[in-house]
Amino acid sequence: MNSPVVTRGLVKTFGHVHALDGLDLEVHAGEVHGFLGPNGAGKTTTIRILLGLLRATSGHVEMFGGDPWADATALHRRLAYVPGDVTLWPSLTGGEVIDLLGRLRGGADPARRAELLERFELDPQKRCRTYSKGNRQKVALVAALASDADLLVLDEPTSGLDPLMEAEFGRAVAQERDRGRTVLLSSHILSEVETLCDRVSIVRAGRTVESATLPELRRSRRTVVTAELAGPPRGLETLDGLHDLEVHGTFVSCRVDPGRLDAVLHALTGAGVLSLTSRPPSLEELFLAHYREEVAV
Amino acid sequence: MNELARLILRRDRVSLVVWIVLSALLPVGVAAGSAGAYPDQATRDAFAAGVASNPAELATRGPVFAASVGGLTAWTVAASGAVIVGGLVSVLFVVRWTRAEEQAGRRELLGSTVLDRQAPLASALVVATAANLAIGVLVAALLVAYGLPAVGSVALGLDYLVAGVLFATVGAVGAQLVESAGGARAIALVVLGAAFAVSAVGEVGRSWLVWATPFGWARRVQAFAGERWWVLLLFVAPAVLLAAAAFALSARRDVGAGLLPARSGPAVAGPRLRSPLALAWRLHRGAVWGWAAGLTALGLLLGSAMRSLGSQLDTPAFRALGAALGGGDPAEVFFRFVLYVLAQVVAASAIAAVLRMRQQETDGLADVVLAGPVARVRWALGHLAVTAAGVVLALAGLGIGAGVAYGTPLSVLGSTLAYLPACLLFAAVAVALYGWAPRLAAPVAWSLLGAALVLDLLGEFRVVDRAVLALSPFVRTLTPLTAGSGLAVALTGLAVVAVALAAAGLTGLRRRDLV
Repeated sequence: MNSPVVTRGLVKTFGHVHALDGLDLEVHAGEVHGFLGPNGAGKTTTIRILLGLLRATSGHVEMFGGDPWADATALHRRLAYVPGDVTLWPSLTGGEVIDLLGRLRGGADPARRAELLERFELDPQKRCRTYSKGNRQKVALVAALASDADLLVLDEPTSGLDPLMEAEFGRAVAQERDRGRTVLLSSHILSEVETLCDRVSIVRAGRTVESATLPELRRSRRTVVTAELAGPPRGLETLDGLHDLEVHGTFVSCRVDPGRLDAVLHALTGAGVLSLTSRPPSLEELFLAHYREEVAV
Repeated sequence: MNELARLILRRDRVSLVVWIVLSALLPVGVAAGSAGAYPDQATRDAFAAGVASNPAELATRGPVFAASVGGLTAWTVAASGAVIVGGLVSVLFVVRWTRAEEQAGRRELLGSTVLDRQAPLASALVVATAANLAIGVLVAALLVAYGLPAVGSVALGLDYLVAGVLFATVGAVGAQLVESAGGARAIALVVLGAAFAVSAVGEVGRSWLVWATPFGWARRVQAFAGERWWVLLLFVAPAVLLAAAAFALSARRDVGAGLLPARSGPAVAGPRLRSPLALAWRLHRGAVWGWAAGLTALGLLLGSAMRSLGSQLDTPAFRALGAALGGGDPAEVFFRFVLYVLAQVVAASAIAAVLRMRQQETDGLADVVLAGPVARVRWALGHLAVTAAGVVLALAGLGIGAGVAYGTPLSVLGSTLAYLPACLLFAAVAVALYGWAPRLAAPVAWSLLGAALVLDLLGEFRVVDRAVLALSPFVRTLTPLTAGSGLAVALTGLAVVAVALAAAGLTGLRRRDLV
């Protein structure tokens, strides 16, 4: 499979500061890829390297098989970008900015532009200096979504949107994926990534700590199990791979290591199960677990 | 407010100190230069007589009130130093501390704390006043230390104080009127330019107009020439009124808003807005037309003033001066002088236009374009093409205005357009710096232009050698222009250097990280 974005061992230093310290990222064609990390982890630096605005200090980086620094102009025909902190020309109107960006890329579909303006409830006649942060973000989003670029690079695109618009954004991204586009979505809003993304990469301090599909991630992590039993449980304490066990009479809750679920369920059914919930870890738990581990190390 | 004033001092301590020190050194430098160039009374009297019969000198500096070292110092710096430099820098700082902060959204962060809503404006005016006071005290102290009479030194120091404070209040009002810092600066600069033009006409025609502007007042304080202290009060009244107006406006309006409301605009971009060049034109066009219109008006004013003063212009002394400078029609000689000064103003507009690129980059606006299929060089060339067009329009407007009003459009137009390579050279220096050392671009480019202006001033007093003087691209244009030969070679040389510097800058831009 040819991947639109590949980086291996990407390093970027600013003076003594290591913004990226060997970052690996691979975005497959046609997927929505979540790029996760807290502030300062290096997400925006990575994106700016991918856009050819910064030059990597070392490491391998390619976009559509080309070098984002040397072939920037040609590659940019195939992508559209929404910056995290959208600034626009104060004296231009939103509509003018959308048209300008579309035309620089070779023209956008006017019907699609009108549809997106409606969906995002954006007034294109206002000067950009009078837009709120959320509205500036909508301008950039409409411009990007109205383009026919193969790859959408979205850097925390919903940080200024209200919940209704956030939901609209989610629907729009899902549609783009269905149309065959690839999306690189940098975010720290985990629920958004959880609903939208096929695969995620989690970065910390300029390094990728995990890169997998959500089911894979979940399988590699502890499952939360709660149950109400017919009688007091027996033998749970001695089981391997069981954590945070709490027993209140016939109520049991615990977290189970990957691959141990079967043994735990056997022990529970031995006591007779009245009700059972088994929940995979949320992305938030996965994310926090990574950070706790790393901090502990 | 104390905290806010301290914040301003913390942010701009270096530039404030540089401004104060340089401002204070200029008068004493000129005094030393005058004393060196015109050591005895006879030479000074001859110089003063030359000025009196030279409309170009009268227009830019006014009459010499006393042919002493102090008198010549006051003649040189009272209006040019105190009003132009002091006023300009005061405007720039006050707008930077008020409207620019508001535009950037930082004002909101501060406004949510326990600050009074007038505090930002008040602290800006307090710091500007304090800085101008420091300049005034230092100017007086250094002149006294140099050995000039104390009374005159104090009068000149007060000139600096009141002129700076007056224009600080002009900047403060401009900052209340419009939503953008650029617009606020433009309002204040138009006021400064109009005052200069009116005073130039007044001085050359010896009319009541000399009493209409701060330029005339600053000169007529008559430092070192029987000081007239009451003239200083002329500055105080408008300064108090303007400050009161600024506070009244600021009390009434919303944070972030101007008095002149923002209108809505087109929902769809016009058909031409489709390239980096078109975007650059859109961003620069207000400034381009503003400069062109302003300089055309200035040209018309100067040209018509000259026309009505034809007889006064045609004095034996001025004709002798003209002959020494290559001869020709006295009006042409006059225009050559004035255009030489105004060309440096056009160069300032060119530097400002080039530095817009840096502003676009730091604001994140360059990213928006460069993330599209637009090469960096193409983006930069858009800005540079518009910069060059702006310089051509400004110089042409000046030449056509002056030429049409005087009746010799072509020859005047030719001598204004001759400054095109010199102006573009300064733009190219800014491009080279922007490409390789973007953080230094603004301070170094402006300092170099400032150095050219100071060189010009020092050259007049023969403090510096002709060889040093020839470093200035403006002198390199003026010399062949007055000699009437070698112009093509000189201009080609300047143009080649300009193109090379710009090309070097673009190469640097391609290689470096963007902010």
